Amino acid sequence: MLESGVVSAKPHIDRSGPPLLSVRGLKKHFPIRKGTFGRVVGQVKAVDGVDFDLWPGETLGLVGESGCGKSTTGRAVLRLLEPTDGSVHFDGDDVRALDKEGLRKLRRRAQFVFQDPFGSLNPRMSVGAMLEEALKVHGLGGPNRRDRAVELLERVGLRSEHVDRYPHEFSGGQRQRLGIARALSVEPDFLVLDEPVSALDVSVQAQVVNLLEDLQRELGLTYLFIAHDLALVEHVSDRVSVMYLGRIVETAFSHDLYRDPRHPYTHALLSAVPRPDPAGREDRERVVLTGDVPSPSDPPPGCPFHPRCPNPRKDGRCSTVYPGAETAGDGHSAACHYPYFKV
Amino acid sequence: MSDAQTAGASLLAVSDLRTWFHTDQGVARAVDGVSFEVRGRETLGIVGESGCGKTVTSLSVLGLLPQPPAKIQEGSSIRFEGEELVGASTKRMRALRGNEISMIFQEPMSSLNPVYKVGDQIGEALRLHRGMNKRASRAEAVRLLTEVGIPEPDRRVDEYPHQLSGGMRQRVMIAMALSCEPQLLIADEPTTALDVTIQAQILELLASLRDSHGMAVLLITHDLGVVAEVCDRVVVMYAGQVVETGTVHEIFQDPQHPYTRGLLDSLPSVDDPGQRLRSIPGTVPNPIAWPHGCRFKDRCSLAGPGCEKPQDLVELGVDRAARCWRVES
Amino acid sequence: MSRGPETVVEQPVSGYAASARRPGGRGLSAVLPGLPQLLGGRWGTGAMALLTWLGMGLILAARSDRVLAATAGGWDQRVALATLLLALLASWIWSWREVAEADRLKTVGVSQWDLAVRAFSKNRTAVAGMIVIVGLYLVALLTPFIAPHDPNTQYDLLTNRLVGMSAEHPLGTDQFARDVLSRLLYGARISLSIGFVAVGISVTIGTLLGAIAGFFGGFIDGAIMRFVDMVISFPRLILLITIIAIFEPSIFLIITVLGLTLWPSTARIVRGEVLSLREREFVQAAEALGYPKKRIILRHLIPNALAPVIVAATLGIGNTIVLEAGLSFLGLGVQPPTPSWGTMVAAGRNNLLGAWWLSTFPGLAIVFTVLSFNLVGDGLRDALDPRLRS
Repeated sequence: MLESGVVSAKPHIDRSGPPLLSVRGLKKHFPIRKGTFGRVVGQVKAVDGVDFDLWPGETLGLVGESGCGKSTTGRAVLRLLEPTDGSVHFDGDDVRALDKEGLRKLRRRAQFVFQDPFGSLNPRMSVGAMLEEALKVHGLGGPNRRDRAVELLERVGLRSEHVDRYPHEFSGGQRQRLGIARALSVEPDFLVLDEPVSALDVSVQAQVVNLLEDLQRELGLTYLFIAHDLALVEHVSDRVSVMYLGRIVETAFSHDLYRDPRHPYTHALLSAVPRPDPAGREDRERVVLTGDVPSPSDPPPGCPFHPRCPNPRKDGRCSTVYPGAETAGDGHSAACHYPYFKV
Repeated sequence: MSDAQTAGASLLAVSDLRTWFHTDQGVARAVDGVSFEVRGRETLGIVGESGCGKTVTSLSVLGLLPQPPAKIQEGSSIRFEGEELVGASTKRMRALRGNEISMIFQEPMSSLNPVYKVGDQIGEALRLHRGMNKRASRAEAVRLLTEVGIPEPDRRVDEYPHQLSGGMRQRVMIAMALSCEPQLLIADEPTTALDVTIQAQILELLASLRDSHGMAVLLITHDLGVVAEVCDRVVVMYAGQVVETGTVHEIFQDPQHPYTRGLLDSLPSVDDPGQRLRSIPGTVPNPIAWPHGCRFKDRCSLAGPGCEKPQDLVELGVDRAARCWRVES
Repeated sequence: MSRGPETVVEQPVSGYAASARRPGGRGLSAVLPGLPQLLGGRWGTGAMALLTWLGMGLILAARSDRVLAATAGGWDQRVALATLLLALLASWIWSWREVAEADRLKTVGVSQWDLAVRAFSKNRTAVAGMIVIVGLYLVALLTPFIAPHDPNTQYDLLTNRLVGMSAEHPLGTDQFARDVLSRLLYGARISLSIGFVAVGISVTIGTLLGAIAGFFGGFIDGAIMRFVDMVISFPRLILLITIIAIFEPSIFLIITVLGLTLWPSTARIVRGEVLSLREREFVQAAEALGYPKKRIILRHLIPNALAPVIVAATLGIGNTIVLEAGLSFLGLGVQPPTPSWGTMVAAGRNNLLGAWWLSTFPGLAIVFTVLSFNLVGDGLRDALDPRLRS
C-alpha cells in the first residue's frame, strides 16, 4: 500500500474502447397512490431520462441537490431499484434483462457503498461475521474465510483485532471503511459510491477519500461517485455530470466543468459553494437562485430549469422545448438552448 | 459586512465555561474552559468537528441543557450585557430567550411543531413576549414572513410546516427568531441540512438581517466555507477547548494552531484539484477521557516534547490567540 | 498521510470487571456458587446462583428418598430429577466460568445483546422479577420433590375438610380435604406451562408471518395482514367456548387455541419493524451483495426486529396466565380435579368467608407471577432499546 504523501499518477483512461457501464434513457418513476384501492394518481419522476457512459478505471461524479435523482440513478443502474424505462449495459450485458442468477453474478462485479455509516452495517453482526457472510454466499475465500476477512480489514486501514468487534464500537470514519471492506469482499470491478463521506467530519472525510483513491489505483476500480459536495466531486472525479430534476444537465471533464460551466444551473451551483477564502468573498461573482426546486411529480414543461434560470437570453423556447444535450468536440455537453461560453 | 473594528461593545462574554455531563461511564467534559466574546453587530463563528463542544456551548448560553445530566461548573461565567446568566432564575432565562437572545437550529423540520400553522407559531412568540393580540400578531407574522423572503406570505401563514420546503422552513424559523428583535441570534448549523443553492440564500438573508436589525450573530458550524463567507471573527474549538481565535482573515490566511491548519488542508479545493488530500489522522477523542497534555498531540504532525503538558491559550495580539506552545516564539 | 490507526471510541464498562476479581473468588465459587458475585455487589446474579444451589441442595438433603425413587417414577418425576441435576450443574458451572472470565472481561467485541444484558442487570426491580420467575419455574418443575402431599389425595373428609393452616397442611385444606399447598404447587405447572407454550407458539408464527409480510410487501403483505385482521376480530372467548363445546376440554386444547389466537399482535409488531428495517442501508447492502431473500429475512431482519418481540412475549406470558385463570374460573379451562390457579380461585369462592385461604393463595400466586413478568418485560424494554440505554 501507499506510504503517506506519495502520489502516483492515475493511469491514463482509454475511452476509445467499449464503456464498462452504458446508460441510455434511464427512467425511474415512483407511482403516487391514493385512496383505499391504491389508485395511481401521479408519478414522481425521480429519474427522467439519463444517459451516460463510464469507462474502465474512470470516476464519474454525479452531483446535484437533494431530490435531483442522483441516488435513485445509482440504485437503478445496479437494479437495487427496478428501472421504469431505458437501458443499462454493464460490460456489454443488458442489466435489465438479467435473470436471478445473472443478477447474482452482476452483484459480484458491481458493488454499492452507502452514505450512512450508522445505518449501513447490521448492528447485531460482528465485523468478521459480516465479511465472512459475503464471502460464503459467493463461494469466495476458500477454507480460510477469516484470514481473507482480516486481509480486507487491513486493506481498508483497519487492524486485524477489529474482526471480532461490533459496528457500534467504531467511529463514523471507521464504519465507512467497514462498508468499503464489505463492498470489496466480492472483488468487484465497479463501485457505486453514494455520498460515501458526506456524513463524516472534514478531517475524516479526507482520510476516506484518500483510501478510495488508493484502492482505485491499486485494484483498477471504476467509480460512480454520487455526492452533493462540488469541491469534493471535482477532487475525485475524472468527469462530472450535474443533475437537476431527474435529468443530467451538463457533463464535462471535471477541470473544464469547474472553470467553464456552460449550463446556467451549473454556473449558479458553483457560485453558491461557500469557499474557504474570506479575502475573495467581497468581489466574487455570486448567482443566488430564487425559489425552490419544483416538485418532480410535476416538472415544468420544456427545460426543467427555466422557472429559476437567470440566463439573460432565456425566451419562450425554454418553456416549451426540452433542450437536448449535445456534446461538443471537447467532450463537454450542456442541455441548454443558450449555453454560456467563455469568450 | 462590518469589520471587527467597527463592531460595538461586548454583548455576550463567556469566560471559563465548563459544562460537564455526568454519565454512567464517567464525567464527560464536553465544554472544558471556553472563553470568548460576541460584540454588537458582529458575526462570530464557532467552528469545529462533531464532539468538539460547540453546540453544548451555545445551549449553555441559553440555559437549554437539562441539568442533570449537564452541570455548569463553578467559576463559569456567561455575561449578557453585563448580566450574569450562570445561576440566573428559570424565569429570567425564559424572559431572555426569544426576546433578547434567539436561536435557530439545524433541523428546521423538528424545530417547528407539526400540528400548528406557521402563523400561529410565529404569533405565539409575539403574543408571549410582546403582548400582542391575535389580530396584530397575525399581521406581524405576515410582515415577518415577507421580511425573510417567503413568497405569498398571506397564504403561507396558514400552512403547516410539512407543506413547506426545507429552505422555507428555515426562513420561518428565522422569522420566529426575529419576532422580538433580539440583540443576539445564535445560529447552530443553520444551513447544514440545506442544499448549496438554498444555503446561499439563507446565508445572504442572515447577513442582510444582521445589518438591518443591528443584531449580533453567533454562528456555530463545522463548515469552514460557511465561516469564510459570513463571519467577522472565528473561534476554533477542539476537544472542549478553544484552540485558536482571530479575525476570519487571520484564521484562513495565517492559521497558527496545527489543528486549524489541518482542517484547512483537508478541504478539497475547487480551485486546486488533483492534489492528494492532506487528512488529519485519527478521530476526535472521547470527552470522558480527553488526552493528557495537549489534547491534539495524538493527531498532530508536529507533536514532540513540550506537548506533554496542558497547553495554555497564548495571546498573539488583539483578539488573536492559539493553544500551542510553538506559537510563542 | 494515509490511514493512520484511528482511536476506537470504546465503550468503557465501569464497575463490572472489578466486582468478581478478588482473591479466592474461584475457591469460593466452587463451594458456594454465586457468593463471590454477591460479595462483589452484584446481588442479582449472585442471589440467583446461590439460591438455586442452596435450594437444590436442600431438596436433595430433605427429600433424598423421593429423589432416589424418581429414577423409576413417572415422566413428571424424571423431569423433576433432570431439572434438579441440571440446575445444580448450571449454577455451579455458570458461577465458576463467570468468576474465571471476569478477569479478562470483554471491553471490545461487545455485542448489542451483551450490552442489553449489562443494562438489564443494573435494573434492580427487573432483576428481582427475573429471580421470582426463575424460582417459579424451578419450583413448578421440581414439584414432585417439594409438594408435601399428592394434590388429588382426599384425606379424611370428616376431620380434614376446610382446615386452616397447620404444620401438616401449611396452607390448609379445601372442601375435598386436599392439601392446598400441594395443589398450588402442581397448579403452578399448569398455569406457567400454558403461558410459556402458548406464547412460544404465537411468537414463532407471528414473527415468521410478520417478517414475510413486511419484507415482500404488496399482495403477500395484504393477504397476511387481512388474515391477521380476521383472526383479531374473531372473539377469542366465543371461539374457545365453541371449540370446548365440540371437543373435550384439555390443557393441550387450551394451549393450542391460545397459541393460535395470540400471534397476530406479534405479527403486527414484527411487520412494522421489518418495514422500517427494510429501508435501512444494511438491508439494501445485503441485497446489493446478492444474498438470497431467505438469508436476508433470517439473518438480517429478524434478529433486528426481535427486541420488541421479546418484550411483548414476556408481557404476553403474564397476560396468558391471567387469561387461563379467567377461562378456568369460568369452567372453560382446565377441568377438575387437575389443579390450576384459576380453578382453585373459582372453587374457593363459595367458602370465601369461612375458608379465606382457598382463593387467597392461588390469587396471590397469580398476582405475583404476572407482576414479575411485567417487571421483567419493562426491564427488557429499557435494556433492549439502544435509545434508552444511555
